[in-house]
Amino acid sequence: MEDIKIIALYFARDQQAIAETKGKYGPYLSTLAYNILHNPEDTEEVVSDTYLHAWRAIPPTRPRSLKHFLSRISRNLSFMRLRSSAARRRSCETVALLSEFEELIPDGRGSAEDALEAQELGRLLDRFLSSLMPEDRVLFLSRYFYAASIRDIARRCSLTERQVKYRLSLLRTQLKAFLESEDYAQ
Amino acid sequence: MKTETIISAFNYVDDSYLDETCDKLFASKPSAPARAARLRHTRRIVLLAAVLSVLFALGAVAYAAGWFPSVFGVMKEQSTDQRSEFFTAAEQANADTEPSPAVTLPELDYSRVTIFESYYDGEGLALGLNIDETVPPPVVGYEPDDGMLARIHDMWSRGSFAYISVDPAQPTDDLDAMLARYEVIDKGAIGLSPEDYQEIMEARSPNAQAADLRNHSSIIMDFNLRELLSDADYERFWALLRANGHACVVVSELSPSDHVLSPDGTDLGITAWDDLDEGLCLSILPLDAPFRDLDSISGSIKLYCSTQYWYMELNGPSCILYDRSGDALIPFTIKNSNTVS
Repeated sequence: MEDIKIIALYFARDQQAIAETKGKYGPYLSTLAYNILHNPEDTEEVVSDTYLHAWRAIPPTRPRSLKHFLSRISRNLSFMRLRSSAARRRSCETVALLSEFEELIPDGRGSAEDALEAQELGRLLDRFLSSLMPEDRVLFLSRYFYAASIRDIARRCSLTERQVKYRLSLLRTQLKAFLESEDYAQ
Repeated sequence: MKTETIISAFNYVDDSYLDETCDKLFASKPSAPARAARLRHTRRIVLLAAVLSVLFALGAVAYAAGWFPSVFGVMKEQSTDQRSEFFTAAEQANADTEPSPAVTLPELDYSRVTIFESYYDGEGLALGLNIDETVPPPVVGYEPDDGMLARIHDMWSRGSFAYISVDPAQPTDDLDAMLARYEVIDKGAIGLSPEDYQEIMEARSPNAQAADLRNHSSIIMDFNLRELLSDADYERFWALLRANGHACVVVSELSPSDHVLSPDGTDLGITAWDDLDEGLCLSILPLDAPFRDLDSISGSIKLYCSTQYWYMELNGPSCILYDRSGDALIPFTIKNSNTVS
């Protein structure tokens, strides 16, 4: 079913909307959540919560892209769950990913509650992405939006794992330098 | 805090960039049977090399995906007596702990090292590590100078080839010569049996078969290059090999040493080095006297950064030269488990 029809079902408060969403985007959302959580039970719960959040948000929200609207919800819920399960042992993939996030922005900035700051940073991030070659943009977002493993990215992009790691480390350095040049760190 | 801000910032990324990424990331998966088959052949070839001569490990640490498994648990199973008791206690002490944050090494291209298990009981010390390299990818097409070529030929003249060493009195890894020397003696066999010869010849890669590679070290290096390089780089290597009769790849590598040092730079003791599928385990049991029975122990793990030159000749053997290009220290502090309430 086309997204526009699924969204219409949400607006009509027809619960078939969730079934259609699940059928069309379930595997996609599961992959995204699992990339972050590395735990089947947590993944299942996050994906279910994603449908619930979508049900509550539409209407009034009318997403331009249902897929990315859902993926943002799922991604945010996954990271929230990761924080709430801090006492549990995390996967080494997750530990590696979180430490890479730490390297993306300069020291001295970043506050948990400041949504405006995230929005400002998001705008800069968008500009940074627009300056990249498409291949690098795919690498960067595969890792930092979709939390894909290095191995998976290498396979998808026909690169070796070493190449992926190295290019990502260069991109992290580039982003940090870009943010500093934009006075983000001050 | 930084992490949460940047994670949230990705919510504002333009949809068109996500579409672009989705197209690549969520397209139907490429099948990998050819690569898997290649890997099986590689293992077989490397196994044969180990049987025939001395096999040198490349030093790469296995990276375990999924939850951090307990290397101490594995060590407990593999050890006997005192070491088994030590690792049993170490595993229990680490059961509910989270890994230490990864240490990032800007001087080594932002490679990261995670100490995900640690234990000190006043007598011994154990560390479980994961090393996540981000060193530059291999560079194909390096041209060795005369000095480097002299070093390579010197090694070959002493029977030292890539991955294998042979009797210096008969310094060749040519498979036909090794087959001709095959002889069963009291302590085993020398040379290469007809069965092993046949197996190696048949397991060669299509490129190696087309070029009729007959040197054992080159056949193994060819397999390892297929795993190390992207498909495009691997074909470029072969194009250079065919055109010039030789080719060389520069490989950067970060590898752990067996030195665990005190703050003043002395070794804490003799370090056992166990490279497991679950991670690397460094253990010192017992520690040298000055480092026993402390409330806590501080030190650092030394890592080596090396540049390797993988050199192959089309009608000859192969060689790997190692140049150390730098070291890094990963600090740690561990409380004595016997004094922690």
